Amino acid sequence: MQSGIIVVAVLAPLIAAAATVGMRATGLVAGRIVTSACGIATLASLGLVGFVAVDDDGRTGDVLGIGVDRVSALLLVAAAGTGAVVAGFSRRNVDDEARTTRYFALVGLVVSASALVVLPGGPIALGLGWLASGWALASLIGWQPGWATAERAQQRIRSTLAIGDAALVAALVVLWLADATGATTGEAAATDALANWSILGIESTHVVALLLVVAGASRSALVPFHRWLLGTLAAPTPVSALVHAGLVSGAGLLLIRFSAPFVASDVAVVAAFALGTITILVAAGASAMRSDVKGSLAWSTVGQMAFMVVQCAVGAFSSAVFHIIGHGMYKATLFLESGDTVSAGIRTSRRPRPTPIGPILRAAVTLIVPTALLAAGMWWITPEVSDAGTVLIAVFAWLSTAAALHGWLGRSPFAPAFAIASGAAAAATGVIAYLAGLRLLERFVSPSFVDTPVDTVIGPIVVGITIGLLGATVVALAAWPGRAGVAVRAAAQNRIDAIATGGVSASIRKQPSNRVDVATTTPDAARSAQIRADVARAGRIIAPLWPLSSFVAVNPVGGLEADGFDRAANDARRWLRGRTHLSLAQYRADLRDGLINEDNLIEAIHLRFMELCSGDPLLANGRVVHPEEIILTDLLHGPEAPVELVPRTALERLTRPASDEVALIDDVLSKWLTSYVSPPTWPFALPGESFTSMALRRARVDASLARVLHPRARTWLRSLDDDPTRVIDAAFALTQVGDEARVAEMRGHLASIAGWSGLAKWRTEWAQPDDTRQTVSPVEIVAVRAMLESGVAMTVSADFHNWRSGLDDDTTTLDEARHLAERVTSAMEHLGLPDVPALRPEITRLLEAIPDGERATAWLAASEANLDQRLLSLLDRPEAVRNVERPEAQLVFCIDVRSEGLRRHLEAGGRHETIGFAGFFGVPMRVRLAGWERPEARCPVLVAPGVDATETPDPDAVADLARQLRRSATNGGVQVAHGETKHVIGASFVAAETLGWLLGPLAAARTFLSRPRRRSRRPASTVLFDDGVLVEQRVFFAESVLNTMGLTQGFAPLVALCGHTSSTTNNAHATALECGACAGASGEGNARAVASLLNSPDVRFGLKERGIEIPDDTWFIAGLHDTVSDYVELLDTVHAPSSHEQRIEDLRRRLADAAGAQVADRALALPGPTGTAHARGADWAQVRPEWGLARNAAFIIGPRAMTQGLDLGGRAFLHSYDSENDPSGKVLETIMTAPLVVGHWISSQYYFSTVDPEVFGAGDKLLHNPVGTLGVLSGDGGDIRVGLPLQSTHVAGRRHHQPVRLVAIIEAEPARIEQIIDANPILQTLTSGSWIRIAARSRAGEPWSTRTPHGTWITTPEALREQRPATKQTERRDLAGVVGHLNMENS
Amino acid sequence: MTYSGFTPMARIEVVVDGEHVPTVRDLLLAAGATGYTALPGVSGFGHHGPHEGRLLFNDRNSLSMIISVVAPDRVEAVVAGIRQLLDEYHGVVFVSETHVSRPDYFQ
Repeated sequence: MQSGIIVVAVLAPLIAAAATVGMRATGLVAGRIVTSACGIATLASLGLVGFVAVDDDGRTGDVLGIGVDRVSALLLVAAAGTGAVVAGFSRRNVDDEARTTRYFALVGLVVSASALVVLPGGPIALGLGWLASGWALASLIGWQPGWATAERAQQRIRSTLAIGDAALVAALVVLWLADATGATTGEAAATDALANWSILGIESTHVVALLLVVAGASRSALVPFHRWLLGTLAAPTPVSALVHAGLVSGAGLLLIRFSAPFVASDVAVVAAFALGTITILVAAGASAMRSDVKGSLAWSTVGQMAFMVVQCAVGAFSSAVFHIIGHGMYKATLFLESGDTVSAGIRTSRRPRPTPIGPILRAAVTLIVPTALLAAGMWWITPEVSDAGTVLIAVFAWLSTAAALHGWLGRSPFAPAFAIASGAAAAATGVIAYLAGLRLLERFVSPSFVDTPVDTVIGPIVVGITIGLLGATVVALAAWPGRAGVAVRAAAQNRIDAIATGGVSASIRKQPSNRVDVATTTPDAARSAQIRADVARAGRIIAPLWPLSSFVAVNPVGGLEADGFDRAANDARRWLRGRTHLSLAQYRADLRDGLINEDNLIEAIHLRFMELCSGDPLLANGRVVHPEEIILTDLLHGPEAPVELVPRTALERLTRPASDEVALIDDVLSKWLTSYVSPPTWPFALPGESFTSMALRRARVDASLARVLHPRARTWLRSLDDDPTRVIDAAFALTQVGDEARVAEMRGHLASIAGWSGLAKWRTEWAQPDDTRQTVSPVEIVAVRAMLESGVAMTVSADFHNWRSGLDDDTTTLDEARHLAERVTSAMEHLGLPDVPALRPEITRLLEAIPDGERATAWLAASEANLDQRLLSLLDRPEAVRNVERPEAQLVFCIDVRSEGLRRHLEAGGRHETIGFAGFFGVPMRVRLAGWERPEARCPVLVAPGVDATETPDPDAVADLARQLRRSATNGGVQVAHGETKHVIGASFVAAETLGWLLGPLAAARTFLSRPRRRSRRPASTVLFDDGVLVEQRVFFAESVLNTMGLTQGFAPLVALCGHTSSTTNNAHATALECGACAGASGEGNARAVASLLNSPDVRFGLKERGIEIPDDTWFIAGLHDTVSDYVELLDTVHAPSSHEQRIEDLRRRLADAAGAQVADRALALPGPTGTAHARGADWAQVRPEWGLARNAAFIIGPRAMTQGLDLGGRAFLHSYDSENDPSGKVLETIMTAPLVVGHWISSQYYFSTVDPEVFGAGDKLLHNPVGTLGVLSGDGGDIRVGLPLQSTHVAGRRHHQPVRLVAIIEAEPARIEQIIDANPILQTLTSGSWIRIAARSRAGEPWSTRTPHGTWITTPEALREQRPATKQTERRDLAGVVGHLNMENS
Repeated sequence: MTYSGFTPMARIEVVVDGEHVPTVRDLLLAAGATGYTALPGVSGFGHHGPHEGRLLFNDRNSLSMIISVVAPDRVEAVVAGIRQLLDEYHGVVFVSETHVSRPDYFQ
């Protein structure tokens, strides 16, 4: 029976993998099958643990010579369990339909292959398992095709692993030759057999052991094989978890399996010890230099694996087993929850720093308590390993405990005595748990090591001395004073950086340079100023990038708005190398799918190419062909535009666009920027140093550059001083960029690293002045990049001084001519025209006048026209009868598209009225909630906050709040304690292997048993404007809010101001789902502050004087709409008068009903089971908790009566407006110049992220690698990502968002609208530049008119007014598009 | 006209779109000005038509005026950059003579 269970445990995942591939299962089904199989394998492994536990020899089962012993049973549980968690996590995380099946099949293969490696079987089983797991892993890295970085990473992984594979195979061959294959199953006789055999005079024991060390070093990424592990960052997060959890511990697995022969070979043991020790040092340094989460985790793993090898080298094999399993679970969990870094960072920054314990006391406790605990612990529970192993345990357990205690004492919110006591208690628990766990494991696995000697050649003295020396070196390095110290540390950093980053792309060749003296100019102050101004001008190509702590949707080409959409798109394509429209094939597919009619297309052609269409028709063989026919045919059938990369900067002109040289520069620059802007534990920059200074310093010593820079270049670099404008001047002088070409060259530099340039632009032009983080400006980015390019240019070309200057050559290339000819041929073919000599030039002339950008825009205009038609005809109905009765409650929601559905469901009962208004509720404020260190801005980024509002707890809730805050602060302290174990060298080993045993089961619970969290009960409090805000100003705010809202009479007894938020977990882009009107944060503070304001008697009195009378029985209440679950929480209800209790209760019930209906609607469009849609936010594996503002299309300004009852599919921003209450037009102007502009930004963000997710969007979330709270990288490095992630706009490879530009639909006099546009340049830019369209009607019942970009109003033809939707069903599909097919499977 | 006890300085006034204020600010400070005053939401009329004054919820898309005082020898440097900027964007810059009582404050 045991044999059967072994078969199940090993083969279940493999069979599942084969089955899914064979059945061609869909991704969803494959996920379920593989996860279940891994679950079954885990259960089977647990059963095996039971069996070996009761067996005295600790062995059981025999399947083709493969049995199970105690060690392998435990490892089997770990492998299968990790596979189950990763597969289960992937089910909600990986959703690319086409290749998901392959993904899960590979995961199943990895799990089964790992099982084979772990079990003591013959050499064939071991070899097979080893090779298969390596192959499957590399395939998983390159699982998504089309990304060069991933392909390169896959190559490196395959070649590095191949070395280890070869070594292992060689070792197995030697074993076979020596008739010692029993070593694979731990037979004692095998070791003797090996000793009796020799190869080339060397005892085969040494040969085999050394080969095993090499094989292990390669698989476990020890130096010099360390770089492949960093390459795994190019794989999805769950794959990283799988790799770091199990696969990477290959060295330990081998050395444990072959423990006897390994120990018998002193050479191998010493080699392993040396390799391990060196790797620990390098890894610690490299990890300290990384600011990105995954990078530092990966390096940490390298160090941990080295530690595991050291444990084996000193004979502490059971400790190594403990470490493999513990660390595996720890690392897997940390990788899987890497998305939480941004949110955790936000929470940390909000917590005030508690007063720390005095440094002397802290140091004393840190030194004394761990020593005492360990001495006592080890005396009580003495580890049963070699003496050397005991030394390891003692030292590293001490380091972990001391680091954790030190961190806790620095951040605990308690009084010193209690802090010390609690810290000591926790430390004691940890120490006991660790030692007890170790002992249990030692006892359990001892039968497996019966034939292994306890001690190795590395004795406790050697270990002690090694640790002592290393420790002394590290301390000396860190503490070395003065300039010598700085130099020494920098040198060490360079060395480690060189080892870590390794070689550079081989294809960069150096050429000897002529001796040419480059004149150094020193620009005067005026010239410097001009250079700065030019950088600002060049910076138009870059949109500001907000940090992820407060994501703000922006128009990615917003700097070019004044040029109009077409020109801006052209520039974006040329400089940013991004797609600005869908491809012709995609538009044509939309035509087939009914999203565009041919009529729309023809109309678009007439509008855009009016002059061409009015030209003479052509005559061919008696047939008359009109120009528009030709144009239409070209649009319907013509070939796609070729993609051509035009050089952006001097180096690209010298080499070629996107050359290896340029890629190298961008890699290095990104690395420096990441380190400077988000400093790691060991940053490159010296304290107080500017970015330019740091770059100049590093350029001389950076390892990757060193191989590329000619000595001449290095001399030139030394001559530069650190004023960025002078660097730019010198660099441009070198590369022959004249003054007139300067702006273009700067534009090229900024565009080459658009993400970091965007962040720099945000920081210098938009950030609040109190943002004190280290900063880089666009001038410095241009300076450093230009300097790097010049240096490399000097190296690769001898004649750099003979280049052409940097003016743009936009000459028609051969490719363009060929493309035009193809278009003409295609048009003639599809029209059935003969290729007569007279005809071709005519058609060529016609089509030449329509460049590719314009073809695409014609399609875009057609799809927009279709949308406009359907929307306007939907809205073209007689005015809904306005309810005369006083509504039970009025609810004011944010204009966000996500409120549309909820509002509709709420109003269905007929007793509630809803109003749309900007989610910051009209008062630009800073909010400080209870427990926050400092206030945060909560208003659109277009306006600066004017007043402060603070949350104060009610007198009877102070204790409650204090308790909550203390809990939160304790969490913070624990996190700092954990963080300290990661930062202090040597403190992470024992910490990781102990914590892992706790985190592993928690991760499994989170994956399989996640439930929506109940919101913690908030202590009663109020949010009020600060006392300094005088009554007059409060009244002014109140009046402006009510006026702009259009709510100046007819108040309901209950008026709810509902801000919105989105509660998600493990989501780096969480703030992208929050309220945009509050700058990427929750609208809670604003709702509460404004509600308090409007309830205040003083304010009401002042309002009455100004003509707005709020009835005494009206109460304003704040609400918070969670857009993931549609649950609206009513806030501050304890302060409501008792007369309103029942109303509030009724409203609550109504909101719950509406939420249920709305969630059910939304669930149809979300992949996965529909029943749990409301709980998606709590699921840490869920990559798509909600759709956010995807599918937004229109901004409707008018009374609710205009849209009431209509199902707009969640595609419209709804702002309430009544022109009759706005005689001066001021309210409409306010709406059009702020909320509408924000709506346009959001629309543009979604548009561009959809048409090019890689350039204008943030790409696949699975590859995201957070950097502090700033942003994410994709994979191991590179530019910081901009825009929305792929999963916000696409699902399973299909577009969910329809990329169209925003249409503003306004119920007001067109003349009034025209006035407002005339008075506001921003609106002129947006309308005449075709960024937004405007449709308007004076009042209900009038026909709709559309405004052309030139300012004429065209009334929609009568014919369209007849198109009335027949039924509710058609209504939904008309606007919402085809929703049904997006739901992949209801289960 | 001279004032006794006052030092002659140069006064620079710039009127630009609100969104360019940070750039002008950078130019001023980088070229040696020790400070500036910004008046947001000014209205006016010019070559490109009328400009509305203050918008309720938008500081960026209305005009701003920036005033700064620098030593006369710095003027050229300060203005050089601003003029470069105004090659591309709408706006005006005026330089006039003024007198201050605390010259070290502005240097």
